[in-house]
Amino acid sequence: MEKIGLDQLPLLDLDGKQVKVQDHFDHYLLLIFLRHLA
Amino acid sequence: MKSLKGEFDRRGVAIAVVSFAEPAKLSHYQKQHRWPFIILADPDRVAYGVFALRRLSWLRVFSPATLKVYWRLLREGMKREHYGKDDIYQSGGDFLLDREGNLLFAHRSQDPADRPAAAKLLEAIDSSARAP
Repeated sequence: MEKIGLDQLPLLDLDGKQVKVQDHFDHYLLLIFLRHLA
Repeated sequence: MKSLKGEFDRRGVAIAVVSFAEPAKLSHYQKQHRWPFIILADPDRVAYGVFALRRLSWLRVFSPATLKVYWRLLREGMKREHYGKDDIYQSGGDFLLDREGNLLFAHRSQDPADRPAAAKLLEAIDSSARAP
């Protein structure tokens, strides 16, 4: 099974601060990557 | 997706939406739309790269299936909003992960209209939960 290094995802919150993705879920996370807004 | 959020909650699935728009632009968008999801920004598209989300060809972006979807949305009254310079060629995708980072489900869109139905995502979640 493919594994993703969640610690290495450079995702930002709406204030532009780096987030630790694991802090946002307990069991599963569905990540939806958008193409563009609207 | 919004209407089925309860089904995801019930299965212990948090939903995070990732955009390559700048956080300030996303913040403005979220104030208007109030999506009930975690909203995250990846302006340098590093995470897009990690999940192998490539840029689409012109032919895929303007495929008949895509034009059909946009035509339907316009007929339903969707207004086109402008949030700066978008890259219409960037593909999207949907990924289900557990806390260890195991990729339990992956869907990389082949054209803009190619997104898995929420029911298919719920099915994938239920299958993962049943797996030993």
